[in-house]
Amino acid sequence: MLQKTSAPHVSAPGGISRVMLWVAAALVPGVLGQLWWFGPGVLIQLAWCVLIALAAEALALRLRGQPVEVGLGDCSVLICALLLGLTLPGHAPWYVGLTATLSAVLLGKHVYGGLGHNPFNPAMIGYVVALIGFPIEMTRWTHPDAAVPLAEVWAAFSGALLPDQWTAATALEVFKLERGGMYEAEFKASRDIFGLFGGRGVEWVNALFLAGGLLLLLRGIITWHGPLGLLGALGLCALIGWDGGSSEGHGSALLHWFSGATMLGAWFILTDPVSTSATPWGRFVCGALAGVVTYCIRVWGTYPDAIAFGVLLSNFAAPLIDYYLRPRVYGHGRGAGRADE
Amino acid sequence: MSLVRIEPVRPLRGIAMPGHKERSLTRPIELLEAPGRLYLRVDPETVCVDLEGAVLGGELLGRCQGVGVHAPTSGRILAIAEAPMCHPAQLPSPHLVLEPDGRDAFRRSEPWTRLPEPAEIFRRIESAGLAGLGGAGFPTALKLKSGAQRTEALIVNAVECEPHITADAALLREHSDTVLRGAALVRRLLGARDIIIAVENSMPEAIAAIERTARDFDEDFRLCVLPALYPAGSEKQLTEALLGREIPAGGLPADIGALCLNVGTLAALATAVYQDAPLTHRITTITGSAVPRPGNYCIPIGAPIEDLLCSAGCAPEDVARLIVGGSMMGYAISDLRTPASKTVNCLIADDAGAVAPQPPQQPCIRCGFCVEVCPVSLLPQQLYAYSHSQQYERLEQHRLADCIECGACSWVCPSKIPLVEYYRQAKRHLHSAERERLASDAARVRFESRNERLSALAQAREAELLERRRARKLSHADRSAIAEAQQRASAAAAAADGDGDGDAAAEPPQPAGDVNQLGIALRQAQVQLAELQRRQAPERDIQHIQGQIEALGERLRSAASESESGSGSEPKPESGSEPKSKSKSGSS
Ligand code: SF4
Ligand code: SF4
Repeated sequence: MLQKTSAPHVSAPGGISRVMLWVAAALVPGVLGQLWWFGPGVLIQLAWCVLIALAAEALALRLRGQPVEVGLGDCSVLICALLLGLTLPGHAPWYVGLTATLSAVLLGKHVYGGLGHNPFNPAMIGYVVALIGFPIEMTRWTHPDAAVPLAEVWAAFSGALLPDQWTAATALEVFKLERGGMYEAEFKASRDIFGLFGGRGVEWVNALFLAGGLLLLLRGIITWHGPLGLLGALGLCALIGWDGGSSEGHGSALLHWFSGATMLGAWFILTDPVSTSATPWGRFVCGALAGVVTYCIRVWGTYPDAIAFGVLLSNFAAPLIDYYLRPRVYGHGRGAGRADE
Repeated sequence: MSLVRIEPVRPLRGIAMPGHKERSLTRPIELLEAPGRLYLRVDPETVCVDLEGAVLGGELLGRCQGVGVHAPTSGRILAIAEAPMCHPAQLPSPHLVLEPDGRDAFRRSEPWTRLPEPAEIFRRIESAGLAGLGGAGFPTALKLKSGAQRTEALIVNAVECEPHITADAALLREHSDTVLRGAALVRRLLGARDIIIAVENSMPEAIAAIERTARDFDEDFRLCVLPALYPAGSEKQLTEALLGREIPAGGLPADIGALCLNVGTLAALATAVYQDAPLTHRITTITGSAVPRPGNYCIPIGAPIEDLLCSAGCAPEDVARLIVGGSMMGYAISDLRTPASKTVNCLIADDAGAVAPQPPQQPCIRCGFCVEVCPVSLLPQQLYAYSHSQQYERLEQHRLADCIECGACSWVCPSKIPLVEYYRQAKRHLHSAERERLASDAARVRFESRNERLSALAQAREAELLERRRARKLSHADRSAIAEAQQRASAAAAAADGDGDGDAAAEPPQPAGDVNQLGIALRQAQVQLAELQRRQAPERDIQHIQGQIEALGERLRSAASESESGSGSEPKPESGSEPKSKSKSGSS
């Protein structure tokens, strides 16, 4: 009996898991950077989030009567957990990670029907839930130069709030809150939270995420449209809002690019395929939208960083953008027929 | 005279995928002998040879969808029998069964050394059974006609972008002169300005062969070496890359002054015109893991695939899957006895170990990989979503009709979704919906015209009643006219009433006594009979009218013989089946 397969009878090697593992690999440099500047807390958060996420995913798949191995095997939940873990402060207590991850996996993904059906980025849903539920814990970042003893790290994870001596406002927060009528250079020199071109420490973490993103671009796993849209729009807004560099201003483009979660958001979160637009220019517009929203909230909003809100809002608009920004189909409209006439 | 290398005008998009060509690429073309039986698909009503008669090689046997079918070798026609068609659906269809006699005798041919008038060349092309050998099988004569007078660039397509296929590369390597001859001929026939030969960089020997033989020609050729990307060889992609223009949606390459012909087709054309040898053989790559001697074979068209595999050293029982065509766009068949058609450019026979189980389909993660590779810039993931949810309007909006079913999207899809399969189903649905719409339009037209007929019938009846009332007051001399009017009315009734209540139609004409009126009545009855027979009215009505006609004929004969004794000029009606003579007698 001959087998009847349908055309095409061959396909590219690898499946979803391969794509996801490449994303995970591209995250590694950024994770190492974060480990270097913010201590082992980041690893604890990552491990905790991954653990919860796998358990929640398995549970959800079971309840929905779907094959657990296939669902876990595609590694998509791993990426979700890693992204979430990276956006949580390294010394957040265990219940923050738990709430965030459960919200991400259950509320952000499975409520909508699992992989491929979620309209919003699950990790960002988890992040926002945690931000609203635990505003204090979620905004306590350690100072990049602080060497927190391991015992303290563990205590923080078990629920004790990290003592103030280790924490510091982030560069973006400082820029938003502090007003002193100084030149920017002077202002930056006066505070040890600024680095060479962005937030101290965080600028290198961002640079490493940028490198990881470029790796994905090179591998053809993401396209340049989304990141360029986000970074472009953010930079443009910063340029328009720039007053030449005083502490009264809203920060330079470089500061915005290399502070907070900008690069992680642009290269890894915004580019989450499921929830963003699927057309090349739609992705660009989604990115630009996220960039503008991020800038506005960073400058005028109550939250110090806003990548999550920007991304969620662009997810919201994605179906509409998809519909209106369809590429011109071969042979239709301009370009069809005689180009040289 | 000269061969100019050119670069593509627009960059090609596509996938660099493993070509799997190494096994057959450098193999010489090997001629396969005709097996014990050949099965040539024909439309039975077009068969123009004796069944059970002897035929010579090259002899025209019949036609299949307008394209001539010729005997690949000499032998005896055994019968017309059903065999699976070389097509994805494999429907059984009529084939001529030819038993070769082993002599391989050919009919007398008239090779041309000097070309005659174009019209004569066209006639020869039309009668040579030429069809596109690249895979689509479009009649070449029609294609040439579509490009007549408006072709600027003839594109010689040797871009074998699908994995496994090496037939065109082999042909160019060994017979590039024939291909170039064909190209030069088509250029002359169509008045094309340029000949652009498009090859893939994966066939260096073919490129070298073209460069070598082009020197012997008095023509200018352009050669464009394209990167091996899939699906660069599709007509749409190729014209865009070479000419920088897109074929308008629903249009032909001729609309932008281009004509694409596959190298195999051109070689067959040159052979047909110069040697007077119709298309009876073609070059096919036979490969796959179950084939010990993969290579490029010149096969007789109509040979069962099973026999072809055997000739390549393959045991049919080892074959777990057979793909006709390349592994991207070809189709798997379930019956190895299927005879090879003119479009079979490749046969891939795989054994059980090489056929990977189809990976489970995962949900679409909207990664957009498919968007990046689609050669016609569709949004495959949206098409998938809409096919899945059967939103046909959206599918039309998203231009499903422009999908060339290249399979590039399915190939890259990490979720392993058989996208093309979904598109095919949706297209089928759209086609049948379109057909239904057409059918319901036709039904509406029928219904409306029936209504018209019925109202005409009502009017006629009314007129008839009126006439009858008036007739009572009329003189005897006017009766014949009245009878005619009545007759017309009932004929109209018969015409309008296809569904059998023919009582009005079968109303016997009331003949008057004299020859003229009898003649008129007879003629009308005959018209009525013909009408009833045409509408296949119930037997009862027809017999009734036939009885009337006989009776009338009888009476007319006796009346005529009576008047003959008076005037002697009345022609004698022979029988009731010749209305003309009667009408003459009536009108004279
Ligand atoms: S390649 Fe497959 S999974 Fe990715 S968007 Fe296209 S259909 Fe969806
Ligand atoms: S099969 Fe259709 S939708 Fe898919 S890549 Fe080819 S043309 Fe585009």
